Amino acid sequence: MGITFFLLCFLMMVSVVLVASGVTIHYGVVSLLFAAMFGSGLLVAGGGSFMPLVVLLIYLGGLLVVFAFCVGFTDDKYCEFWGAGGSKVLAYVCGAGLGIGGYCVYGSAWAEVLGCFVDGVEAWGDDVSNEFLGVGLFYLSGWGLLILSGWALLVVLFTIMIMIRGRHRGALRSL
Amino acid sequence: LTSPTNLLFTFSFIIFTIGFTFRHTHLLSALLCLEGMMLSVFLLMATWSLSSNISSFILPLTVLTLSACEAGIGLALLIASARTHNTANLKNLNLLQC
Repeated sequence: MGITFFLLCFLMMVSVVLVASGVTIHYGVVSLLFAAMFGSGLLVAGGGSFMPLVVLLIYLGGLLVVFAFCVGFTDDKYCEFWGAGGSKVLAYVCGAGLGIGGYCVYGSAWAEVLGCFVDGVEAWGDDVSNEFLGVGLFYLSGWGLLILSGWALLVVLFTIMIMIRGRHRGALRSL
Repeated sequence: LTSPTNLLFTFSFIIFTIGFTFRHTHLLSALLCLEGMMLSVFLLMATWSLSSNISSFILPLTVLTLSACEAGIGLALLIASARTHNTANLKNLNLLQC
């Protein structure tokens, strides 16, 4: 179990550095995909079952697919990866590696945390885990935020439709 | 709380923020860093809600929804500028430059 947790953390750190270092956008989008996957794997290691699926379905399957589609609209002439802009990426990788590695080596009190996943999931009763009750609170006491989020999504839908109109001459098109 | 997961997510938020402030060649790289910031904030909130007794997931889900809205509008701006200039390089967005 320890190697799984270590690989999840390490590969997430690698893909985060690859996104932030500004390589070609095709590599950046795929690496953000991988960062989302490893992040949801770390949520599974923390004991959740619904939240990782929310990340995978909505964030990765909905939003990042739109990002990958938009990458197809624009092209990047000069394809660069970690050989070209090397010094910036090297600074990122060294800093991240020193930080995480130093903590993992010298923080010996967390050796058991590094070794295993969460054993028991906290449950309110005997059957339902805390997580589903917490998501259900979205309907009970968070109804205002639910209505606000739905309204924001509707407004954003019409905003995007206005911004990508092709035929008319607006502020976003050249004259 | 300084568990390894929280430390990793905090570092990734800092790295995404630094990558957002740098000047990239393409506009989409900055949008990817913005999305990464929102993803790491969501992961931090979800980890906190999972490991505390409060266990209310309203805040991560709402933040995720609003970040999806924001990313959609950012992508629409990218597509509009790519249709106008044929690329979305940051050198072409110089309309306000004196």
